[in-house]
Amino acid sequence: MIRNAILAAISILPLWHGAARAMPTLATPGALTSATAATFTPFEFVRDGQVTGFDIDLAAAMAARLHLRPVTVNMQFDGLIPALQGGRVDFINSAMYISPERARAVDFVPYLQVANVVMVSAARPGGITGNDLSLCGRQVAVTLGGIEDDNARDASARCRAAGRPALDVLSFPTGQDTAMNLRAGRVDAAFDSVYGAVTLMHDMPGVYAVAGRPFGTDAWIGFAVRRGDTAMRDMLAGALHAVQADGTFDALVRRWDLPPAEQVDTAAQGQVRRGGLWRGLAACWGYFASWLFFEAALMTLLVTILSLAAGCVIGLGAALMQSSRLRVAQVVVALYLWLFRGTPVLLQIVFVYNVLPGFGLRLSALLSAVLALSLNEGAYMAEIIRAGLRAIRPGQRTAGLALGLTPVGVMRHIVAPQAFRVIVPMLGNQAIGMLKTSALVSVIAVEDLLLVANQAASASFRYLEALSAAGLYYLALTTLFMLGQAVLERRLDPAVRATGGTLLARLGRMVGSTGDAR
Amino acid sequence: MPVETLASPQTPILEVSGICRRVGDAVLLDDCAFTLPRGQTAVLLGPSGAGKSTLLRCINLLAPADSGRILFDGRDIMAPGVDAPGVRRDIGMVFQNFELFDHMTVLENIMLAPMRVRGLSRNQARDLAMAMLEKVHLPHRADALPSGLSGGQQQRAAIARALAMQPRLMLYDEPTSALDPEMTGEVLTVMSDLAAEGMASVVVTHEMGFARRVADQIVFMQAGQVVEETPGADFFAGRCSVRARRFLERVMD
Ligand SMILES: Nc1ncnc2c1ncn2[C@@H]1O[C@H](COP(=O)(O)OP(=O)(O)OP(=O)(O)O)[C@@H](O)[C@H]1O
Ligand SMILES: [Mg+2]
Repeated sequence: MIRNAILAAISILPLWHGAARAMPTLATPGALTSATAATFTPFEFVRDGQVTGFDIDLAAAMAARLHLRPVTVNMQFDGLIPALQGGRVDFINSAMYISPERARAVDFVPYLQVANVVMVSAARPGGITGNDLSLCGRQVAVTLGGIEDDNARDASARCRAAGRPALDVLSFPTGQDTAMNLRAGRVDAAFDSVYGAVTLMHDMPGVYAVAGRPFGTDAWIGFAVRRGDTAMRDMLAGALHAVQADGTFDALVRRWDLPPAEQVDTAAQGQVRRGGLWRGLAACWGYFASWLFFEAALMTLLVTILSLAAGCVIGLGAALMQSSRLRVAQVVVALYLWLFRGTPVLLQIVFVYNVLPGFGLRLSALLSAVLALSLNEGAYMAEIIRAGLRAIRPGQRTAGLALGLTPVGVMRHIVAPQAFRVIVPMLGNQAIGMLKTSALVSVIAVEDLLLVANQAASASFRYLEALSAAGLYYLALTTLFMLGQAVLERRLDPAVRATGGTLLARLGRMVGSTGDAR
Repeated sequence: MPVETLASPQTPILEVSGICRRVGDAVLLDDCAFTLPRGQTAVLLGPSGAGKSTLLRCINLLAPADSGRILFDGRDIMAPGVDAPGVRRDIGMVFQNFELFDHMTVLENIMLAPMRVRGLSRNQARDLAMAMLEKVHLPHRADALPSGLSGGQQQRAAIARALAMQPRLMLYDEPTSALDPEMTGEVLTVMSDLAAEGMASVVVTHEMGFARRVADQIVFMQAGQVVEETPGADFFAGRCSVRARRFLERVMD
C-alpha cells in the first residue's frame, strides 16, 4: 500500500530530540499524552463516543502515579509511530506487539504477555487443526507488521522443513481486516491474539472458531517510546512497576477479563445473533442518527469548508502573483504549485502534523489538517482561478479602466464577477473532491466521519452498517454541495437575476426574479 | 469641478505634441502631434497599422507614451504624479467591439462608473443612466442584457455608458467597423448629434461619408507618424498631401 509506504517514510525522517535527561520532555506539560488506535477490543476501543479499554485504564493509573493528567489521542494505527516520532505524544499505548521490526524504530516498555491462536471459520474449518502442518500451502491472514507475521514465518519454516509447501500469507492493516477476510472466506485461517479471538467469538458467535491451543506465550505487547528516549522509557517503566506492585494492574486484568492464555476458554460460544436486513437497517440508522456520527459529519464539514475557504484565498493570491510581472513572485508560485501538486496530500497532512513540530511549529490536529488541505487545495485553485481570469476578454478590463475605475475596481466589479461565474462549476468539483479528501485527516487523529465509522465498526463488527451510515452522511453532504452549486449558478446567471447591486447583494437576493426583457 | 480647469475658452481641449511610443524595437508612434479645439471633432484617418488606436490609447493613458506632451483641457496629463483613473473618467472611450460588461444589464453597465467612480447614489445613477439611454434612443432596452441587443444597439449603449461620466472629450476607435451596414447609420447619427451639441471628439473611422460630414479637421497618419493635420473641408476638397490623396482614392473606391 502506497499509504503505508508514505507513513513509513515519514516515520523514519530524522528528528532531533535532546539527549536523555533525568526528566523526560512531555508533549504537553502536566500531561501524560499517549497515542492509541482504538480499534482493538478489549485493550482500546470506542464505547459511547469515549475511548476506553484495558490500556486506557492502565495509562490513567500510571499517570496518576506520576501526578500527570492522562491524555489519549485517538488515531488510525498507521499514524501512531509518525505521531510519536513527531513529538506529538509521549508514548504509544495501543497494545503494540513487540516485533524486531518495530524495535528498530521505537523502544518498548513491555507490560503484558499475549499468546496467539489460529482462527478458522466455524462453518468451514477446512481441515486446519492448529498451529501445525495442516496450515501448509493454505491461505493465512496476518496483521501487517504484527507478531502474527512472525507466527506465519515460523509456520512456513516448519512446513518447508517437513517438505511441504509454505503458507500463502496475506497481510492486512488491522486485526479487524484480518477477521473480515476470514469471515468472507477469502482466507482459510488467520493468526490472532488470544484476546482478539475471544472478543471476536463473543461479539460474532458462530462465525469464528479457534483451531488447536494457544501458542507463542513469549510474545509481549508494550508501550512504545521514541528510540533512545531513555528518560521517558524509565519513567513509564517505573510507573508500570508501581501499579503492578500495588495490585492495580491485576485488578485491571480482572476487570477487563484478560486471564492467562492457559485459562482462556477458546471453545466458548455465545448465542448466535441474528443478522437480518431489518436489524442491519436499524443499526445503520442507529449510527446515522447518533450524536457521535453527527458530530463527526460536522467535523468533516468543518474541515472541508475551512480548507476550501483558505484554499480559495491562497489560490487567489497565487493566481494574482503568477499573473503579476514580478519574476520572484512567479518563481515562488511555480515552486509552490510544483511541490503541492507533486506530492500526495496524505504525505502533506502527516508532514504538517508530525514534522513541523520538530521545527518549532506545533499546530493542533484540526489546524494541521486544515493547513495541509488548504495548501494543497490552493495549488489547484490557483490554476482554476487563473483559467477563470484568463477567460475574460482583455477588452472588458480596458473598458473598465477607460471609465475611470481603478485597477482594483476593475478587478472587483468587472473581472472577478465574470471570472467567478466561469469557475463555479470547477469550484463545485473541488468542494466535492475536498469532502472526500478530508477523510485522510483521520490519520492525524481528527475525529472525522471515516475515523468514527471505522472505530464504531471495529468495536461492534458492524462494518456494513457503520460504513453505510458514514456513506450516507457523505452523500448527504455531497448533495448539499451540489444544490449549493446549482443555486449559485442560477443566481449568477445574468439572465435570471434582477437588475442592480453588487455581487454579494445579488447573492443574497431570492432566485427566480428576472431582469431580462426578452 | 476639478481645480485643473483653469483653461480659458481659447485653450484647446486637447493638445498632443511629440508623442513617441516604442515596444521593443517596433516604433508604434513617432513624434505625433495634433490639436483639437473645444467642441470640435477630429477624424483620425490612415491605413491599417498606422498607429491610430495606439495614439487614442495614449491620449487616455491606457498605453504609456515614452515621450511627448498631452495637454488635456490645458493640463499636462503626462506629468509625473498624475492620477490616471482621474484623467480617464473625464475622457469617454468607445471601442470597436463595444465591450459592454456581459454580466450586467444595459442599465447596470451605465450605472457602474457613476456609482463606483463618481460616488452617485443608486437612484441618482439610475436617473442619469436613463437620461443617457434617452439620448441614444434606447430607454426601452434598459433591463436587457448586452447579449440580447443588436450590434448597433450595443454600440449605442456603450456610448451612453461613456456619456454617463459626463466626459469633456470622447474617443471613438472604429465604432462601426464591427457592425452590419444597416446598423452603422444609427450609431453615426448618435455621434453626429453629440458632435452638433459640441462634444469634443476624436474619431478613428473608415466611414468617409461620416468623416466628410462631421470632421472639423482630419488627422492623417501613416507608419506611426501624423503626416498631416488639415481642416476637413480642405482635406475632402483634395487640398492635402499626395500620400493622403492616394489613401483617400483607395478608400473611396
Ligand atoms: N502592445 C504592442 N506591442 C507591439 N506592437 C504593437 C502593440 N500594439 C500595437 N502594435 C503594433 O503597432 C502597430 C500600430 O497598431 P495600431 O493598432 O495602433 O494601428 P491602427 O492604425 O489602429 O490599425 P487598424 O486600422 O488595423 O486598427 C501595428 O503594427 C500593431 O501590430
Ligand atoms: Mg486600430
